[in-house]
Amino acid sequence: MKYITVLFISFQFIAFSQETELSSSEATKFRTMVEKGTKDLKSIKTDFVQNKHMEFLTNDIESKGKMYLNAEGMLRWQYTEPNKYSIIFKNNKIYIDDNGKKSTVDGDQKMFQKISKLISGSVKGDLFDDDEFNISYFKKDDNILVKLTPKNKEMTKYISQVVLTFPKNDSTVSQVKLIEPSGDYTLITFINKQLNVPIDKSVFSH
Amino acid sequence: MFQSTRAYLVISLLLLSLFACKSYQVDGDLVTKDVEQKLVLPYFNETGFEYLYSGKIEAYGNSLSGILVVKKISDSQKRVALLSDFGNTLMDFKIENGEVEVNYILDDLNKKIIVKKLKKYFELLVNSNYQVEAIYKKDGNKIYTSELQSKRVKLYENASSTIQQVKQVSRLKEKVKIEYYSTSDIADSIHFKSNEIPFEMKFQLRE
Repeated sequence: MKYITVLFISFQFIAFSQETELSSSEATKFRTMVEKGTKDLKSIKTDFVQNKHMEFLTNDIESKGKMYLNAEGMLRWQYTEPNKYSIIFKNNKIYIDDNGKKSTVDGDQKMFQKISKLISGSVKGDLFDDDEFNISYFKKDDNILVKLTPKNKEMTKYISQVVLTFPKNDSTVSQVKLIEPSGDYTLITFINKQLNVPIDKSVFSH
Repeated sequence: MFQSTRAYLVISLLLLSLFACKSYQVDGDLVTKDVEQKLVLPYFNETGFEYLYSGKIEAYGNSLSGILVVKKISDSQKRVALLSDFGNTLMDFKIENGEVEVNYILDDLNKKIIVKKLKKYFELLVNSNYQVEAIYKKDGNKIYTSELQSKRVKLYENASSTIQQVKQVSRLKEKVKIEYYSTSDIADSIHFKSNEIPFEMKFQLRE
């Protein structure tokens, strides 16, 4: 009997941690909540931890940093550990500061632009672009997972799927998982997130 | 016309064979040759250890920064991967028994000539085992000669028995130079420079 109880609890645990797809009305409700919640969003300031997972490594490769996004769509993605490296996406240009060595890229680096659009899009609620992605919605524990599979062949060369994690009743993402065609992935977890706090213009200057 | 072309060909071939027969020069005094000795470089040679470096690559005027990952999976297999700072994989090679296999390469880099060079350079960068052919001595330092990828390799050992430099050379010139800066079996920094093409890599151990 004791074993049956343990087995039953285990099954329940598995069931709880499994993903279940949202119905179309639940998905619409969720999308509306995100779009509404982010409509008046002026800025976001957050720390992040980036973990790169590779099939042959025992330990993920960890980097840490800060992200700033303002209402005009300017984005600063800044690594602070283990190396100092920052990228500013502004006016279709990419400004790089590699530990003091500065350079500018004229919107040529596709990957950077995609990441910029992914992050700012998830914050502003305009990432649910059915033309660009096949989108599916799942519930897992207390989170909503949005799985975006690129339709664009060019993008599928770099990313096979993006999984955004939204904590319950939160219209901004807590995690972004970028899965590569090889199955290796990069998981970005946002922590200490602050919404609508003033961000000094100098943060986006190069 | 035909005769002059033939004469030109004969002279070219003769010159080529002369160069080919020219004995290989090492700047030092020969200590011994035809030795049955294996030389093992400590860098990237601990099975299971995950070597992580921050790096910068300069190639044909383009600059790229990223992360180098090396892992010796077993005595016969190593994995070498290069990632961007964002974490996306740029290339991932498996090196096993002298064969380099591409597990993944970014589409933009997936050109036959680029893949060939990258395979060659990264194999050379992480190779640990060399069969010694001869040993030379100069100013208290040792120079070992060996071979990799059917090309001569010179390995420079300092007075404290640390291999600090590896050069791949043809009979006429230096092709590649790798400098390892270390205080232990793990290189703190590595400088790789090609003299064949404009290609240079600098790696710093990630803390």
